[in-house]
Amino acid sequence: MEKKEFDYLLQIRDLKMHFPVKAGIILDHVIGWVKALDGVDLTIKHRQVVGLVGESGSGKTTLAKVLLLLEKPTNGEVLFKGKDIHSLDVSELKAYRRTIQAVFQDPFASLSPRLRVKEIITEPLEVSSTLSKEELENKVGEAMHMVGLDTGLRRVYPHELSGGQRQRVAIARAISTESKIIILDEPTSALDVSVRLQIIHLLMDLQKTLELSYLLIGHDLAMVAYMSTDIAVMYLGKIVEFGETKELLKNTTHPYTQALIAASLPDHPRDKRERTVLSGEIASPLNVPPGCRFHPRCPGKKSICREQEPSLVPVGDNHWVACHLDGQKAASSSI
Amino acid sequence: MEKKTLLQVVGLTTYFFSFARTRIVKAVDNVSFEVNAGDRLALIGESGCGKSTVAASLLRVLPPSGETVSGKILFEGEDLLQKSNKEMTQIRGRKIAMILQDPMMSLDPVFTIGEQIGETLKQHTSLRGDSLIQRIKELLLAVQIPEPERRIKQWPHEMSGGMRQRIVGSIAISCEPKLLICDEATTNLDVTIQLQYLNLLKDLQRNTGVTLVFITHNLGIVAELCEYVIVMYAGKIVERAPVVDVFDSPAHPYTKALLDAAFGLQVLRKRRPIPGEPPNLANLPPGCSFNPRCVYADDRCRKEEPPEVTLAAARSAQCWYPIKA
Amino acid sequence: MGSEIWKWIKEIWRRVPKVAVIILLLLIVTAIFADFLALHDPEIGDPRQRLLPPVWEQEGKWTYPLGTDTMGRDVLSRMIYGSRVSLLVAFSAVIIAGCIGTFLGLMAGFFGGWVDQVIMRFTDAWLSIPTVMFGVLMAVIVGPGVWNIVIILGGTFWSRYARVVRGETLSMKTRDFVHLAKIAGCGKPRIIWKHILPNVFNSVITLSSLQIGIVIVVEASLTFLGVGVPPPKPAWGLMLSEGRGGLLAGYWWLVVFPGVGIGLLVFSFNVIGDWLRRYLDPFYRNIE
Repeated sequence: MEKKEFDYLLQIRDLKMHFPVKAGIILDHVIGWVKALDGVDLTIKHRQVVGLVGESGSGKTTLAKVLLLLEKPTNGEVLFKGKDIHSLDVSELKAYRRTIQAVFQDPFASLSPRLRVKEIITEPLEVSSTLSKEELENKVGEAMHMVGLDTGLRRVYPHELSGGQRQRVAIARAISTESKIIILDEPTSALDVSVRLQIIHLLMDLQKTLELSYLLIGHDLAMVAYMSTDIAVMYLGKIVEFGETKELLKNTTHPYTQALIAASLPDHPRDKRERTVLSGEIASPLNVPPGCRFHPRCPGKKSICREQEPSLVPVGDNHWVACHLDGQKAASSSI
Repeated sequence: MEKKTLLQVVGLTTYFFSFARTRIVKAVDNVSFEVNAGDRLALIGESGCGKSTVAASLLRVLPPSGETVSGKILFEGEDLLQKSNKEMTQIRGRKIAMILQDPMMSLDPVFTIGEQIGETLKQHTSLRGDSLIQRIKELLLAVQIPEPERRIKQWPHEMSGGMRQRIVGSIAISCEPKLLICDEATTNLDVTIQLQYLNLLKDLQRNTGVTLVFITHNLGIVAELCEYVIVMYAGKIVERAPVVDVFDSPAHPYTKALLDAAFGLQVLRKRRPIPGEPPNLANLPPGCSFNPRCVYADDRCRKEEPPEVTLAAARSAQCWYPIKA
Repeated sequence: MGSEIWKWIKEIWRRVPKVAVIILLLLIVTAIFADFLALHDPEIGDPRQRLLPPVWEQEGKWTYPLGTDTMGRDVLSRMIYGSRVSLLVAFSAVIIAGCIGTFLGLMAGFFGGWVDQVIMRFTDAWLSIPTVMFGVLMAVIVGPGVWNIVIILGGTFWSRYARVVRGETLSMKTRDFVHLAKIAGCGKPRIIWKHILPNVFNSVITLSSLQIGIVIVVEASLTFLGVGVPPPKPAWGLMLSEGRGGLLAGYWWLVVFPGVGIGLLVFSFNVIGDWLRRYLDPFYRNIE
């Protein structure tokens, strides 16, 4: 049982993931790079819910894949208990696998169609520990109870369950190994609207009861803000703003974050306001603009923005921004 | 200014049949509503509530297992359900157009943009050659796509999601339809692109006077874009009201539950999830279809189906105990 | 528990193509209970009763309902025992082909890279070999015999399985549940065995039922050509070959019955295979 020898669970340092784009028929040569992650620094602490927001091409899914050891980064490191996760030995790797789990977006694709619910839930345990059949059965019962599933469903196949129920199975599986971090990749986007909040409240309750940390990836800023203690905003492979949720929403600094907030839809028809719509298309990670990567779409850019890439600097208590514009706020978009 | 009734749906009922007609899914059950010219109507509900089936029934593009068993669809005074297939091809794309959710499914990957926009124009107009290309360029500019000459020769896969959806939009408005149905048109788009697109739709309406019917489950889009709301649940209309009334004082418990469970940055309040599971359309409960999940339900709700109750001008709800303002 | 199974059977019965299933079940039952159903020994005949026509013709006898052949063997009994031979050879060959092909397909699809390249080029080459010719060549080399023919057929038909399974494996590999299995720490063997194989199994079954028809015809052809099941075993292809000469002389029953037998067997497998292909398609499953 690890005590708090480390004050973080995961520390991500200068993480880069550049995918080569090759051309040529017989001898391929590299003609460009898809810079999915281009230098990400992030710390995930105990009992922290870090919300990761960004649009397509931001790199948030790639970051999740690297943390889950599905991809190997081209640069940088992810430290778990002081060691990079890509150079762990066999037993450390097993410990890491037990600690970090994931819940993905599509409940229809996340569960193996030919396995029963109880087999799906116990798989991580079966692989990483040696428990008897009885102990496993008990674990299944516990996990199903915690996620609000009727234990009578344990022998059922996924296609007999509804979307909400399947997502609960996925969550039960994720908590079965007494994990400490769960990566949630758009956990409710594919669910029916009326079921979404049920699952969100379940996740929030579990976080408190089991003292979990989450990396919550989402495109809906409102939903992410509802669930997260801290928010990181990503654009084209880098974090452009990071801060504690309330602080970030109150003192929004980076123009992109302001645009995201401005683009979020109103709560009430009377709240409609004329606001600056961000122009242009989302840039592609194949063609990252020089200098500040957001500058082509930025309403307030200066000449330095075209030349020099800004780095994350603190602008308040637990609030970091990567921008040359010194915290000027567009009038209509902060809350 | 007097508003003209563009579309009048009366008692529309569409079922899906399977297993040699032994299993019936009542996708749309006795739905009636009106749309006036220039309106911005929202048809809201979760997946399976029947909203997309209403649109498909309107355009008569149901899949083989679906059948409109009764009702009338009066468009500009004429019943679309009585028209022959040939007559319907004159209406689809020309008088009534539809934009679907996934632009990659709507656009054919083996034809250029110019060819795809041109196809609809060739079908419904007599434009050819230079005047055709001129019109295509106009349309691309109308949906805010810069450099139209270059775009005409491009392929769908060369464009971003937002651009593709705008191309789909340009195809939809190419023949100046009277009615534009958007079925979850912005669901697949990024947040900032979504806002651009909704503004585009508003502009299009301002410029061409087209009537918009927006099908969605997202209350934010309803608040942003629409004037009138129809809420559907399990194939029936459970509430209809002007948009401000729906948000201020929802009358049907389902509408209220949707609002309570919705997200928005502006108002941070306690949100309440909707209990239970979405309904199984092949096996609906007796009485009011919403009763298993309704916090106000009583025995009457469980036994008898409620009638539609008029609450005010242009407001009604199908409930035994509509929530008072 | 019993009523559960009964309900399940009734559900399935409602959906299957009934004619084909009935034919197939009859043939299988006949094959299994051949010993009880046949009236005479299929391999030894009574030369005094040779070339008797079926019972409904003049000179037909009830003891030989479908007539006799040139050696006085009862056609009906030969048909009954022949069903056993045909089904046995077909099933065994398909099982062998299925195992080889599925294994190679899984390896190619899952590991990719050069493993995939090597296996696929080999498969492509194998697919281009004309089956009957190859069968004849191998039979000449290896010699006749029921099990020899089974192995030859198995060794010929595996390539289509490899192709199909590789494709399915490739598509399974990208699914979320496989990613999640990796995240849980599953090793490659476990992922292949528990996650990929069960999900490609449907395709294998469907392919098998469609292939059996071809296997039966090829077996019959090889036997007809004299390099398959050796006499005096009562294989339908053999009956066709032996009866061929008598056709012009008017002894039609020597050829028609085995021909119809082969036809019915192939027909029912094809119909069932086709139905399986549509029924097991997950797209249709979602609609239902």
